[in-house]
Amino acid sequence: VAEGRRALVVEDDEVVRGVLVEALLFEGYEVRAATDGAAALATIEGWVPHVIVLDLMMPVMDGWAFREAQRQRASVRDVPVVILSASRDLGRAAEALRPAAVLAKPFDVDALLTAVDRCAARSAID
Amino acid sequence: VEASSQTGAPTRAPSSADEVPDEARALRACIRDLVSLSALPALWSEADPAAIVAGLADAVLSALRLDVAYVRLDAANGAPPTEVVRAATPDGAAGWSSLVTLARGTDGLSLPTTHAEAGGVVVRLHVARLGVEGRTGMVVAASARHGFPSETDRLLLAHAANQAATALRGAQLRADRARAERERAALLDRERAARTELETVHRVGQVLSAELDLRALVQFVTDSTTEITGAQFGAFFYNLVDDRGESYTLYALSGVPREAFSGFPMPRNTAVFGPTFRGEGVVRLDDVRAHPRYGRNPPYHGMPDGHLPVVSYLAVPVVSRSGEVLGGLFFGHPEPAQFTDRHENVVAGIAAQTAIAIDNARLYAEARDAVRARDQFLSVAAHELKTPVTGVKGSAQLMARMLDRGGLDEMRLRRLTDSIVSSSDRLATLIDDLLDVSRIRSGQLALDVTQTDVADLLRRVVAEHADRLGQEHRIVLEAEPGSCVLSADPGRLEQVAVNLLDNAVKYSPDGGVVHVALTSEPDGTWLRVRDEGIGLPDDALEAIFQPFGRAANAVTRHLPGMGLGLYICRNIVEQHGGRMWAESAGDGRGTTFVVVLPCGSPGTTDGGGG
Repeated sequence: VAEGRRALVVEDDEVVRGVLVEALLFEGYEVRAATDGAAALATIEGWVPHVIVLDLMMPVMDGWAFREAQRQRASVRDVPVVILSASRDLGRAAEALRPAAVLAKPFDVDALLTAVDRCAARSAID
Repeated sequence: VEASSQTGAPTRAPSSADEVPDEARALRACIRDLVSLSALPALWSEADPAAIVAGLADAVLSALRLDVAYVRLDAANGAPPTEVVRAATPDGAAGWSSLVTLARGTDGLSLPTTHAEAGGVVVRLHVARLGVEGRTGMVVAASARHGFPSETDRLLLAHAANQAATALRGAQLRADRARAERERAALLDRERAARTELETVHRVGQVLSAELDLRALVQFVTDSTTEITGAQFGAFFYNLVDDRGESYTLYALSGVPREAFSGFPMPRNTAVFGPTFRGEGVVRLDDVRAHPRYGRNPPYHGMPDGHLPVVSYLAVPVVSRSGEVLGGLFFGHPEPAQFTDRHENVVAGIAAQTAIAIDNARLYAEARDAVRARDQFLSVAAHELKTPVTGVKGSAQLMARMLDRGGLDEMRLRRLTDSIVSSSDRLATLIDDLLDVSRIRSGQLALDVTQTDVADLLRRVVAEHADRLGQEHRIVLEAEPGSCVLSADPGRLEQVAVNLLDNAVKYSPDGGVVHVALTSEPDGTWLRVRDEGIGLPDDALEAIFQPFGRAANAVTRHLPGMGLGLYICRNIVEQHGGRMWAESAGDGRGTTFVVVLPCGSPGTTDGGGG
């Protein structure tokens, strides 16, 4: 289902980022990773993903600022976002960012991949 | 009767003795004399003993047709002696000096019955005692008149003396009653004042005991006491001096806008203010300008231009239960002698309550801060702990998924087990930090001490750390050659070094060079770890060494961390007899951590200690 689909991982923690990348690659996604919002914006400059997995609490540019910037850009405005949050409280606050899904850490890998697959399948991006 | 209309005239009325029988004539004279004396009861309402004595002298002079009347009331109960001399001659008592001297020198009992004055006039004398309770006195009547003193004269004089005594007793009673009344009123006034003071202190105390906000509390006290004392202005100063150690910190003002204090320095540690901040008691001055302590201090030698015009001055220290002088209440008035004992008492009472309230407010603030710190810690700790748990759980679940689908090759297995190991290590470190904090707080962070070459240890730690860095960061080590040996816990010192290097990298998210310098200074070996990272705001330089203390710029950047590492590090360094602090030019301008260990110059320690 993921063949030819592109996924962007935005997560500052090296280990968690590695697990996310490994899982998405295994599912057949073309994956790129960024350590913060600013790096993620640079990545999607010429490479539009079908889905973005976004951590909220990151240095340099956090998830909120990234989401703000993403929605300003026509090319990536409609890319669905799966948000990872460290707490349930933060997850509720994240609803304001209109994500496709919110998962609290520590997340279930199966649940994460299901959410990402659903987003990628419905994604309007070619 | 013709003579009855005369008062005090010594001339005798023409006698009509031939036409009137003796008895009737005597009766008529007696009635006339009685009528003359009937003026005496008018003295009963008189309050002044001197006036009564004078009235008595006038009355007997006239009624008994005397040549001289002498009345004396002796001194008693603090009242001065009173003496009156009345004479029938036109030039008054002037011609009777030897008689007056005689009368003055006697209590009346030893007075002769006749007296010859210098002018040759001979008078007969008659004395009556003035019997007033607790006070002696006498009336001396002198007359050259034939038949003086007759029985009637004696009766009349005794009667007059009685009347005067009655009047004196009345005056005495009225004076006593008036004094008692005054004393009662004064007592009532004092009691009312005392009750008002108590009520005021109680009322202020009630508000104080309910007030936990320090700023509001101090303002309320300043306003209340300024109003109670009638001061033109009042101020509360904390017993905290500025950087130069000179001026006290103004906290609350009443009666004047704060700008009134803006043109010149705050009160300084001078002879006028010093005693209050040393807790030496209340200072109350009717005129501060006249006080020897005033005007001693440069540069102003008195109040600077534009100072509030203080003449009356009242200063009351606010002293806590532990004896610490928390601050002082100061009052001023442009007129002299405005502050009284009563004001002093009330303000002292309120100051005592204020001290308790300030203690309470501080305890409350500490408790509140502790609760806030705990909540913040729980939220930070939860986040910090969840990240490695996410790594462990995600890796394990992914391995299971790959295993189910037959895709778990050796490379994947290696990467995922590495993730589990590093996440577990991180979890263990976090837990160790939490345990260290717990040990420090219970005073049980024990050092495993051995002879350790600290210079060598640092070089090794830096080299190992440099190997593990990503390409954004670089470590430059400048270490003087030589050794630095001291009794130390090598594991704990390594923990400090690793923590500083980790921090330098973590708080330089955009990358950069980490400079590590190891130098020998006279006071020991200095380790400096300088990064080009986000720096520290001024208010964070010390705060980051508090448990769970984190710099605001690190929190807003979502840089991970529980805020325990530096607290633990400083504790370890201090247990080694060293010092540790942070330096930074500010937000975004890098940070330098300095650790000083007292181990002498590298390379020379061995020679000294053996």
